[in-house]
Amino acid sequence: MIRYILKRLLMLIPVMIGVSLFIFIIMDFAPGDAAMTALGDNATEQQLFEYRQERGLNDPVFVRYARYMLGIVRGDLGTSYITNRNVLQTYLQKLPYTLELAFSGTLLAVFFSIILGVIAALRRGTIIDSSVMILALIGLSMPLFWLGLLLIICFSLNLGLLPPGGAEGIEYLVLPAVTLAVAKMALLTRTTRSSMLEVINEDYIRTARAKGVSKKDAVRKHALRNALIPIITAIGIELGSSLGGSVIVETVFAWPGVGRLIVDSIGKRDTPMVTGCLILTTMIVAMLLLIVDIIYAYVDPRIKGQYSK
Amino acid sequence: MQSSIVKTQNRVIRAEGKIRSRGMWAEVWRNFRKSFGAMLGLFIVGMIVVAAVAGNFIFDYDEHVVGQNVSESKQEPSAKHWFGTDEYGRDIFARVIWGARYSISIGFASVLLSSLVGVTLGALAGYYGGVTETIIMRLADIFMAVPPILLGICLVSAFGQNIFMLVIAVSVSAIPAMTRVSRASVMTVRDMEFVEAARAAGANDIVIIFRHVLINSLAPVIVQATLRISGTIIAIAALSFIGLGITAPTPEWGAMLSSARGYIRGHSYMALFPGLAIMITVMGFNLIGDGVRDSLDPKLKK
Amino acid sequence: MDSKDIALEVKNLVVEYVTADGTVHAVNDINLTVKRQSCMGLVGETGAGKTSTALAIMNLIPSPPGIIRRGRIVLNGYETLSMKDTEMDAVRGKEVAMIFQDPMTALNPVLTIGEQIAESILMHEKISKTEALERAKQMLEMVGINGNRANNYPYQLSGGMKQRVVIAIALCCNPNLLIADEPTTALDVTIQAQVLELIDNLRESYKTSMLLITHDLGIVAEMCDEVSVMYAGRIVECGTVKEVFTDTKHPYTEGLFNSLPNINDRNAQLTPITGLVPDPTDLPPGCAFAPRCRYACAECGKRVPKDKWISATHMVACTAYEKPEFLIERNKK
Repeated sequence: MIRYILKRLLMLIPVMIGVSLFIFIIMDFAPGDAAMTALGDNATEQQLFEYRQERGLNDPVFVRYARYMLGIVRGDLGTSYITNRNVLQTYLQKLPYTLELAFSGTLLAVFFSIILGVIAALRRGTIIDSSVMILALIGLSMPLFWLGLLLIICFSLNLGLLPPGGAEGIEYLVLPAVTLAVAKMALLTRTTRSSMLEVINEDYIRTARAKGVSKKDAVRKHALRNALIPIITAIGIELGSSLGGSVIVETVFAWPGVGRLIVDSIGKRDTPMVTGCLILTTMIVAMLLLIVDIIYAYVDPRIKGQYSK
Repeated sequence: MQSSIVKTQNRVIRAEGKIRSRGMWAEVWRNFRKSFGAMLGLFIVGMIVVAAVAGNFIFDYDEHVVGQNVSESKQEPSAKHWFGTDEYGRDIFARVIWGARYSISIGFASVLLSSLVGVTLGALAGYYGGVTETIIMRLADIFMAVPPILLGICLVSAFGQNIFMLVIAVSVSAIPAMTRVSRASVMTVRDMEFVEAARAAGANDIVIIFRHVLINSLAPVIVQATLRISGTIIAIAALSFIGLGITAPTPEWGAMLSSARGYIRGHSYMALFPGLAIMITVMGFNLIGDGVRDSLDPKLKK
Repeated sequence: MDSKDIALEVKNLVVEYVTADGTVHAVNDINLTVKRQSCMGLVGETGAGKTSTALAIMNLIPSPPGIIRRGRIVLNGYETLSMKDTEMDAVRGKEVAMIFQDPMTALNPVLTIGEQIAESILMHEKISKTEALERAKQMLEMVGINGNRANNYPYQLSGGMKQRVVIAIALCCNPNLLIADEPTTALDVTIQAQVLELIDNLRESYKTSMLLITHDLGIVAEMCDEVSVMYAGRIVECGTVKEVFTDTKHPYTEGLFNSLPNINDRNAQLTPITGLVPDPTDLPPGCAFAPRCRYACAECGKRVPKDKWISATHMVACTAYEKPEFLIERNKK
């Protein structure tokens, strides 16, 4: 198992180098110039040139990338053009908020969607099934940011129950987490249902019933564990996309996480900050997917077997 | 003599391919038509397209859609302004109808672009294998590792905000998935006997890839593409919402919601209709996507 | 016959599958009796309703779309069709167990084979989990698999070994009746004989009655005491193996024998039964075999043939036998 994890970590390295190179090159085209920002609009061409020369900003992009990567290894992602603060520190300051939001949203979604998906599959073709599927379709079709606005209008402005934005306590988490959860729930419910339907007709369920296992236990002990395999993949993807998708929810609810940091930094043309945030978030998403794959191997012995040999 | 035999064989093989695909598509359409959801989706999307086209004749862009009329600003929905008016007194109904064209055309354009690029790359990777495959698939891994919305943000913030860039930004994040799907599909078709037959008859690679392999491996790609239209529409609106897509005063739905955000206190109707428009459109495409998937693979439905 | 000597009695069983494309008449009013400690073979082509019969006995017809329309099933004195779900769960695995056709899909891929055998024991006996796992190991040894492999997952076993595990699951609670549904069809020919021998030996030592479903008359001759021939959801002929094999009565049974290659007469022509199995949603009126039957007369298409008992054990359902002089070709020689 440890070999499997190590192998996956090693496989991640070239991908991460590719991702960071790609982001670095693209962001090189972004407007925003350290020299202009630092020296102001009155600086002469000569002053700007010297400033850049001093900091190696006139070097070819690959040289600067190599320097950047050496920095990453040392934990240095540069400093913001605007605030002059360390990019990594700023990022790590905002990250807990984003993780809190992503995990609570995904957890909420997983909890409800597995229940709803299993019920829909077992009651297939009934009115319960159709209602669940229609709700899932609506959830799937609803843009996050609109749902967020509607929830704010309803629960904050009209009912006054929950705060519309900010992050000063647990009650501030409710609306953003629910917003994030709804779209994920829709997707996961559909995955659970179809995965369950596929498994429930498998021969081994019949074998279990033939042993005398009750219908309920056949579902709980035999079907669910097998159905879980594709569901876990979906959960991983959803967790990853919550980190990326947090940009939207954080904007709607003024949640002080990484997503807001990215959007604000783009607005301020703070290229090192944006580059750093994009690379770091991508790395965290990749690590999360790796963890999901490891869990996956525990649920499905066939995968574990492939690597223990 | 030799070449005429080859030609005849080629023609026979080609004819078989065509019969196969025509029969299949007729069958797919029959299945599709039977599904209430799929037909509802087709109806919804049809109505939106009709509304978008009709809007062109009913409303004048400069006068009704972006023209300001401050004296009528922030009016609740009424008989005169069905969806009310925004902060500049513009009729929200006119703007929502006008906005349909952006969502639908950008949605289609980027799915088309990502399908074209993805299918070509996937077909090359799946058909040739080896180094070609390794390079293409590793690149796909890299692009897949970046969360789609961040990839979009990265591209738009670097290359500027315009519709062309938006199409590219949304397409790029969909390309790896399309590549994977079409590669897998091409790999299964590649070794089938009618491809062997075409190869034996002396057809060259391009003919084989386009005439025989691609045509027969399109089904999963089409499913993937239709399912992606809805996600693409949401992505465009999302980018516009955070100010990185189409910007005001253009009546893109996401951009409209973004400006409505400032007025939800007291004027919540402003945030209602553009969102509803997105939801209904996306739902229509989702229904079509599900319908296409179910009719191409009836096994899944049961 | 004393009811104590009967392991399974099926009376007037009707099983249908109601689908959008019509009602599939899978089992149409069959009677079947398996004597204690004997082996009954159920023979027929694919789609004749053999598996539906077996699932009805287990009360595991997938519903919807399946439905047991009519009939009685008496299993070792239990009326299973009128039982509550919990009562039936206690019967399954204990009174009656089943070996399925495809060992590749019959085992749960995420549980070890030991757990899967132990689950069955835990279901019916009040013992601890460790004891059950110990018993599972013994069961594995019994079916010829090293007990150490109890911790293996199904993907680590070959097809033949998987089927041995399925057999171990079926027999671990010493059921009165074992239903084996084409237990060797999915296996290699060389493994088939081993598995059949294993089933036969275990059945002897456990004194289990068996209903063996197969399409292979060779297996019937080898394993069974009695045989019922099924066609389009009906039993067209039944009797002891000797009666049915040497004194064949029904034209369909004759057709089955004629489709077999004869090793002693390699020049002989194979004479397959012409035509196809009828569409089970649209069975012909009268005798379902009539459209393919070389002896069919006008009467055959009009009414369902009556069961005609030739001896206390030998029955044929064929209208032609109402004429006393009727003989099939096979019996003329």
